[in-house]
Amino acid sequence: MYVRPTVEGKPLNFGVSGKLWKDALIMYDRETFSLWSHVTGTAVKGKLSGMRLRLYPAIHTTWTEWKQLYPDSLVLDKRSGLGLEGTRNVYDTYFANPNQLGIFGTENPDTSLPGKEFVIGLTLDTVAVAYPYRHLSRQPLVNETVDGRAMLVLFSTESATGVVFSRKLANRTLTFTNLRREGKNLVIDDVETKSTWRALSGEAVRGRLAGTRLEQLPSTVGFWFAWKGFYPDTLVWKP
Amino acid sequence: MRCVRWLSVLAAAMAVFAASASGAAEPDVIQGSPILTVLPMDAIPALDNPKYVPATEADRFMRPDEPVLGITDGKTAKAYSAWQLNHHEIVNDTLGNLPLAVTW
Repeated sequence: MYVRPTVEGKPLNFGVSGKLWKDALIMYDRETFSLWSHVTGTAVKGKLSGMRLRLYPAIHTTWTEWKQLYPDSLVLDKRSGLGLEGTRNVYDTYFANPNQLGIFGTENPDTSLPGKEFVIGLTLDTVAVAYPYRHLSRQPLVNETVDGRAMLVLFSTESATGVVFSRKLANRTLTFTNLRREGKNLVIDDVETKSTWRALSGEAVRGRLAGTRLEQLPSTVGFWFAWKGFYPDTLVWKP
Repeated sequence: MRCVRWLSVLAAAMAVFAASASGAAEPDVIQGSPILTVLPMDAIPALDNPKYVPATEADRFMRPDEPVLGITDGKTAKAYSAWQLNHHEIVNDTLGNLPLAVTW
């Protein structure tokens, strides 16, 4: 999820170039026809070469979990002139095959994890860091400081949803604990004020900080082999 | 980071394009990796002017466990079915006044 930058007074519009780089999509912008890596958000060729798109925080979750978080959400309409779009995952065979890494037979660059292990990936100022789902399933709440950033990583095992927040709120650094379901909502508490927060939206719902919201940090979900391919020096979190 | 998913579906078509590309000029190499042309530009159409429905109405076409990509600015929340995004890869959209490229 990227912010579309304004170039010569109007926001760029992006299209699918049909090209691949490192087994991943290359986008182009319709205004300058520069080519952009979909993974790093950097223009790799053309007039805007070297320019970098700003990530916007998004969350990968299930429809049920999202609706619970945001009942007033808008949803991209599936109805088109050609009927309903996307009634199933057209890539399910690719997802299901643990041995197929990319289309050209990419090797897993680091077999300490299976190539198709899902990871939450984050790029900070000087480092990239990956949180493998298998580790998060065992410890779904992580208070971390990486690259000088105090971060909170949360994982819902039921919906395989991972989200990353800053633990800084105004001048305070919070520490979180006690991830649990209250009814249908996943919630946590902070140690410092004992406020209760909705885990996946980062919104305080009870206690002294009720009504405040944690800043979500942009992260992505991807296969391990691809993340490691783009970020060879990535750190890998372990419980 | 939606590496290679659409390509695996289009493997047959790709093989044809890859073969024809191999006879053409050398591909651009960026940071040691080639940029490969596997489909014509816009063969997968990015979505412009996206239309939305409220969550209650979306229940008619969304499945409970369907993967979605969700965003919010604290005022508006928007969700995109990952299965639907497979057909477009990119949505040129806005959230409030902020122009966004919806993609992952």
